[in-house]
Amino acid sequence: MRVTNNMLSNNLLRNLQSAQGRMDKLQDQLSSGRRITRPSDDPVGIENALRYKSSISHVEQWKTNTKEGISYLDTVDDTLGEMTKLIQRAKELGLQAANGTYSVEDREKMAIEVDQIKEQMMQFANTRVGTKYVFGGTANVEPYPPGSTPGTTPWAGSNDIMKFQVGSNLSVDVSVNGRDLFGVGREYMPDASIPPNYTYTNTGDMTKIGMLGILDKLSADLKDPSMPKLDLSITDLEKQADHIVDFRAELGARQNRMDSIYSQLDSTSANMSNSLANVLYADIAATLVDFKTTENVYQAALSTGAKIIQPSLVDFMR
Amino acid sequence: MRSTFSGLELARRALESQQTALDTTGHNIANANSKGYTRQVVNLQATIPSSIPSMGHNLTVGTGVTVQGIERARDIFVDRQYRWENTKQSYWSARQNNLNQVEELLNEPDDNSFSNDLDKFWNAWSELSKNPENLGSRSVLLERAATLADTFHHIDQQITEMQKGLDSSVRVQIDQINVAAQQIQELNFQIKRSEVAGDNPNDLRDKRDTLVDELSQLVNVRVVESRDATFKDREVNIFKVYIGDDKTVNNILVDDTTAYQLAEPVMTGADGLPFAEVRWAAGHPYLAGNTVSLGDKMGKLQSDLLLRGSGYDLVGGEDKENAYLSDLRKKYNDLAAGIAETVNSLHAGGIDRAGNTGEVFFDDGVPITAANISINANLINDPWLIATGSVTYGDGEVAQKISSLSSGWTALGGTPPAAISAASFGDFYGSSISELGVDVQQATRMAEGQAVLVNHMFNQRESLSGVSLDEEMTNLVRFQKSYSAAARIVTMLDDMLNTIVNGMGITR
Repeated sequence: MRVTNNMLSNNLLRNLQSAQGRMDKLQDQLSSGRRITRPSDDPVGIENALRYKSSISHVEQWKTNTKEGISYLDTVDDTLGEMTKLIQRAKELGLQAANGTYSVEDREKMAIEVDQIKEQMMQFANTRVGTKYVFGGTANVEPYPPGSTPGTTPWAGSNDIMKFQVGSNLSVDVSVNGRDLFGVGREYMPDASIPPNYTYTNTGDMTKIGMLGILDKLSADLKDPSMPKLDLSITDLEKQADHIVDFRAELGARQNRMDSIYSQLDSTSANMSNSLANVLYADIAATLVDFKTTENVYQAALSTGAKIIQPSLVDFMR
Repeated sequence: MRSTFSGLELARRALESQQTALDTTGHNIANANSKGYTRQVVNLQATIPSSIPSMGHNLTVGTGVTVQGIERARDIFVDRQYRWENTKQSYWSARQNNLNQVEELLNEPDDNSFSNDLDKFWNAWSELSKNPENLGSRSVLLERAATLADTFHHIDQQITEMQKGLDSSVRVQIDQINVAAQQIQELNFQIKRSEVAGDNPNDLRDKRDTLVDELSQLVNVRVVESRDATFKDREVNIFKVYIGDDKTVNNILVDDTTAYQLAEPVMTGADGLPFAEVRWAAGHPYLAGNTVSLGDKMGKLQSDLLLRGSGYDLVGGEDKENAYLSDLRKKYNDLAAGIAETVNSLHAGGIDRAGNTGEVFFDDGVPITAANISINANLINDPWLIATGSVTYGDGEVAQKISSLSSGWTALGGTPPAAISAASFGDFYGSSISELGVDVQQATRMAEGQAVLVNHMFNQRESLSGVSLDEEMTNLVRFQKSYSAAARIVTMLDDMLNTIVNGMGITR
C-alpha cells in the first residue's frame, strides 16, 4: 500500500484523539468518583442505581418516621407509668380513710389531695409530643378533655389512633385510644346512686364515666360528712390500675415491634447503600491504573508522532 | 534522409515534456495539504516514430517524447465507498451528539435530577401524614411539589429548545445542499467547456468531488458520470448527482448543467410549527413538491429530522425511532399526567382541616402535560386545604396513601394509571432513562464503528490520490536529471552543427 504523509498525520491525529477521549472519560470518573456519570455509561446499571437511590430515600423517611414513633410511644408509656402511680396514691388515701380512725376534717384534707390527683391526671390526659395531644387519637390538636371541668364539656378527641407510616403500605399505631383509657369505669351518677355492676361504658360523655369520674366519686365520698364506705371506689381504683397496666403491656409489644422495624429498615438502608455504591461508584484504584495506562499510551503516541511526522526526503536532499 | 535539425526538435520536446513533469511535481508538492486535492500524474509517451528508408528496407527511428495528458490518480469506486460510509457515519455521529445533549439535560444520576425531586415529593407526603396538624409540613410539601413541577417545566422547555435548534440545523443543511447543487452545476459547466476544448480540467474536478464529499455528510449522495454522446471524437462527460434513497430513481439534484433545489421549509402555525420533512422545490422535473426520501439512517439531515419529531406541543402518537424528542416529551407528559391524576384522585377522597373533602392538588388541565402541570393555587394560599386524612384530617391516611405511590399501585387498588406501564412512577422513569442510555450507547458504537470505516476508506483514497512528498522529491530528481540530459543533447547537437557549418568543406 502506498503511504502518504497525510495518511500518517491523519492516523496519528485519530489515535491521539481516541486516547484523549479515553483519558477524558477516566478523568471524569476519577473527579466525580462515579463509574456511571451518564446513562449511556451503563444503561442497566443506571436503572438499578435510580431504583436504589429512590428506595434509600424512602427508607430513610420511614426510619425518621419510626424514630419519631418510638419517642411517641415512649412518652405515652412514661405517662401511663406516672398515671399508675397517681391511681395507687388515690387508692392508698381511700384505704387510709376506710380505716375509720380519721375525722371528717382529716377526710376533707384527703379529699383535697384526691382533687389534686385528679387535676394532675387531667394534665396527663393532655400530654403533648410536639403539637400533638397523645391521647387525642387522630384529632390530636384538641386537648383531652377540653376545658378544665370534666362533666361539662363533651369529649373532643378521636377514637381513631394515630398511625405512622413505616413502610410503603405499612403503618403502626403510635398512641393509645384515649377514650378507652380514660372513659372506662363504673357509671357515676350525679345523684350518687351506685349501679350494681362495674359497667364498661364508652359513651364519650365525660359527665358520667371513667377514671376522672371515679376520682370525683372518691373525693365526693371523702367530703361527705356522713362518711360513707369507700369499698367500691377502692375496687374501682384497683381495676383502673389494672386497666392502665393492660395498656402498658400492649404498648410494650408495640415498642418492641417499632424497634425491630427500625433495625430492619436500618439494615435495609445499609444494604441498599452498599449495592448503590457497587453500581454507581468507581473503583478508584482500578480507574487510576486505567488512567495511568491510557496516559502512557497517549504519551507514546505523542512522542512517536513527533518523530514520524517530521522528516521526509526533503530533509536529506541538498 | 533525415533533417539535420530533427535532433534539435527531439531535444526541445524532451525539455518541454520534462519541464511539464517538473511543473506538475511542483503543483503536487504545493497542494500536498490541500483539501480534496488529487495527485496528478504526467502521462509521458514516445512520439510517433519516423520511418526512413535505408538500404532497401525501412528503419524506424524514435522521435522523442510528448505529454499525452496530465491525469488524476483517482478511483471512483473508492469515492463511492468513502461517501457511503461517510453518510452513515455522519448520521450516527449527529445522533450521538444530540442524544448526549439529552443525557446532559436529564442530568442523571446527579443529585439534582428529576428522580430526586420525585422522591422528595413522595417523602414530603409521608412527613405530612405524620404531622397533618403542622403548617410547616404542609409548606414543605407545597415547596417540594413546586420543585417537581418546575423540573417538569424545565425539561419540557429544554426539549423544545433542542427541537428548535434542530429546526435551524435542518434549515441550514437545506441551504447547504442548495448552494452545493448550484456550485456543482457551475463546475459542470466549466468542466464541460474545457472538455469540449480537449482539455483535462483536473483541479476543477477535484473541486467538484470535494463538493460531493461535503454533500455526502448531509445526505446520501450518488454520482453518475457518463459519456456525452454528442461528442464522438473526444471525451466529454455528463455529471449527475442524486441524493437520498437509492431506491428512488428520480431524486436528481444536479443534472449536468441544471441544478434543482430543495424547498425552504415552511413554518406554519402560530408557534412556528412543525416541519418534519424536506421537500423538493417547484421546478424539479419529477418530484416537485414531494418529500425527499432520505433512505435508511443516512446523513446528518435525516438524523436531525428523526430526532426532532414533529410538534413542540405533541402529546402522543409518534414512535421513538421516528421522533425521538417528541417521544421523550410524551413520556414526561404521561408521567406528569399520571402523577397529577393519581395524586388528585386520592386527594379528592381526603378530608382537609375544616372537614371538607379535598380539592384537586394539581390543577386539572386538560390534558395535564409536563409543560402545564401546576399546583392548585387555593392550596398555596391556604395550606390547611391540603386533605390529609380519610376520616378526619388528623389520621393522615390519605397522605400516607399518596406517599405509597412511590413504590406501587396498592393505594390505587393495584391498577396503574393509564399510559404508565411499570411497577411504579420511579420505575417508569428509570426505564426511560435506561432506554436513553441504550440509545446513546448504540449511537456511540455505531458512530465509532463507522468512523473506523470512514478512516479506512479515507486511507484507501489517500493511498491512491494523496501526495507523498518522498515520491514527489524522487520525481523531482528524476525529471530534473532528464531535463539536464536533454539540455546536453542540445549542446551536443550545437557542437555537431558547428562542425557541419563551420568546419565542413574548409581546407587549409
